[in-house]
Amino acid sequence: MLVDKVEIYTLSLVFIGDFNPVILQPFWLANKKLIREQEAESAKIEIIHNDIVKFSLDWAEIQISNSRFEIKSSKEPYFEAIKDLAISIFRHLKETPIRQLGINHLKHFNLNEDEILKLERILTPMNNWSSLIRHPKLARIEIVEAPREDEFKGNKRLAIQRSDQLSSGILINLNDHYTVKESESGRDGEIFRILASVWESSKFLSNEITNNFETMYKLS
Amino acid sequence: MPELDLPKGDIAEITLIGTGGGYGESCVIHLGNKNWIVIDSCQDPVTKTSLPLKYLTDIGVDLEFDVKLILCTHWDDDHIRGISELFEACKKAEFAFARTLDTMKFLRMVSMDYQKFLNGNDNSSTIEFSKCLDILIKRGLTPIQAVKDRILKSFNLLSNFRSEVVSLSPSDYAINNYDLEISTLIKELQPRRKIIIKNPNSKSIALFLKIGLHRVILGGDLINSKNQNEGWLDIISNNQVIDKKSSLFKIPHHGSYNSFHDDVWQDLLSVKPTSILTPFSRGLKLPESGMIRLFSERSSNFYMTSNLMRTSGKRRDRSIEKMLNKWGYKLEEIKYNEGKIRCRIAINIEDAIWDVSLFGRAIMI
Amino acid sequence: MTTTELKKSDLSNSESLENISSYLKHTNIQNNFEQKFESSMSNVIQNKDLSNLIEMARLKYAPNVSYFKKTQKWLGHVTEIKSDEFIAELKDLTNPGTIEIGEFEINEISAEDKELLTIGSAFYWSVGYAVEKGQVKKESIIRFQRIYWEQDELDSAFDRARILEENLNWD
Repeated sequence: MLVDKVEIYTLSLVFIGDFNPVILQPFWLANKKLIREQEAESAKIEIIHNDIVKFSLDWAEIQISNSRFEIKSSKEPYFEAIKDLAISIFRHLKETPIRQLGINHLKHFNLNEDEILKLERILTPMNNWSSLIRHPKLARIEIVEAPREDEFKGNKRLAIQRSDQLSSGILINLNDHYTVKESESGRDGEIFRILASVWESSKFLSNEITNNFETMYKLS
Repeated sequence: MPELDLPKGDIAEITLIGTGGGYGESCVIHLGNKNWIVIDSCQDPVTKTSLPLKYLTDIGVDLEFDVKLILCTHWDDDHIRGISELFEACKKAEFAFARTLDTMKFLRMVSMDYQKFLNGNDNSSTIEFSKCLDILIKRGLTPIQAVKDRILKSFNLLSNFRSEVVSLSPSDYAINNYDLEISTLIKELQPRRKIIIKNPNSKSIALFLKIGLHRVILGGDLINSKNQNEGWLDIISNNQVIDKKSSLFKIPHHGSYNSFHDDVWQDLLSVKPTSILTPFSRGLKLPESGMIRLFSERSSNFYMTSNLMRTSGKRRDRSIEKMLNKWGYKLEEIKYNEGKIRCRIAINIEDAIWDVSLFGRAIMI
Repeated sequence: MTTTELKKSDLSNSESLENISSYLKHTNIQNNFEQKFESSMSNVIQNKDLSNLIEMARLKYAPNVSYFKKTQKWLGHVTEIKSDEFIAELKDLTNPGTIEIGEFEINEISAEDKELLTIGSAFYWSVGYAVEKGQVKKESIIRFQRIYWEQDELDSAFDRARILEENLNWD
């Protein structure tokens, strides 16, 4: 089962808007009781600058620039906590305009070379290229969805490539992307209402994508 | 297994739907001439289907026109799961719940809980109820507020027969207490906490049904209280509406000891009535074996929507199970055991007896 | 792929950009490893020291992130607090469906989370394998929910209550 071969699952939440990076520091988070004090004390700070702040807690990495806020974790026990943290941070900074959200599910699957080659053949038939390219291999493939037709704006993007983390494996990266409506300012927490309402379905979608690969794999 | 079908116009039906105890209960009622009402709602925990909605659909009830009332006995989340989906589907239905003294205060609490839900907190208890309020507004309907001795709905049937749905509780005293509790809950309400009502059952609605020549008591989750102005003691001493003893009794609150009152059996029920109940299995297990014996002795026939199951852990990945065992975690899965007890009777025949059919896990004791 | 092209995809995770740097880093690490590996080998041959070699091999193939695998997750709500334990209802977040009831020792909660333990409070509980630098260990993690509620959230709730009150026809 492909699902049993997930070795690393990273969840990254990316917000696009206008941010003031320098406010967002570990002790500010602890002061607001959003993280434990001890977690703030042991945070690893990479950079704190007016234009960029980057630090990591034991369970999450946070990077903020003027236009982009990202929080990510490869520790599944904390996925809900990073969602809660993002929502709570911007509930404190409620005037921050945020217009876009990307929920990124990155799953690294442990596969041996034969399994990878088989998956590559399913995704794109390499023998079409063998007369022109010697030993063709798939580097990266991206599948992009047409704009959503549900109540939200945005789309989904799926990227498949060899894993850069595993000695042998592939990375399937689902970017589930949402935008606030044109009539909305992004200052009223619209994006967090979207995050709250799609959180479960986005995780479900990521699992369904794994299942779809499984089915394709079995059928081939 | 008996066939799932529509009753004829002159046949009354009380179908009690149980889930094994952890996922709520519901009662689907035919009061004659295609007049249906539904008491509470429960859900399949996996598919999230509203079970009364599924039952009504399965037997072919015209949801849009024939369901006249949906009643929420108390808004504990065990009794209202899927109720908004049900209300949405039943376009002509009215909606009834227990009266609140200070409606604004009550609405504030429900709205604060709703706000938590909008913000993605999975700690809300009253969302289903909140959604029903939205439907009420959309349809321009007046909510029916149940209080002691109030006719909530009545239907004139053929041949001068009549059906009535009457609330026996909550009493004024219970309503007043509830109001005080809401004030405390609002003060304590926090985004990371779930609303937990203390003794929700003393505020539950118990119902008295007059269906042609027959009488039924649906006990809801109503329990006894030390105070004689609420609970069963209040109904026994002060009710003004019970004109005749009931031949069918939905035993209240899963047959718990504190919901049993001898005078209910002596004064309000006919000798050896047909008794039905839903068990409870969420930490506490009800009914206890002594109570099962008691109900069997007191009833002509006694049915439960399912047996009490031995509890065990949920089946999961072997390595996770090993880990849990190693660390000594004992998890008890609340099993889902859907069962239905369908009781039918001819509305206009005085000495008719209840014809009971069992579906799913339902059993006769 | 040029750097400009990479910037266009800034809504997706920074992985694409990081892929390249991590790939380069990885290659450097690999090269360093090759050198160290060689020297370790000679160390093994000369000093018969195997432990160093095993450690090198483990690090060589270990992903450079700390992660969790085979995670089983629940969302719990505290229903009862005893002197040393608390009882909670657990919603399975990994395989949603039926509810479970579990008992936990209060000592399992981190000191700073203890103040969050009240009836009704929510927590996340996970068990699984924590992997760090190739080392795998079984872990159980309890983390109480920390969610901030601004005054304006209460205002919105009260606004909704007012709208409900105005629009509902009470008898």
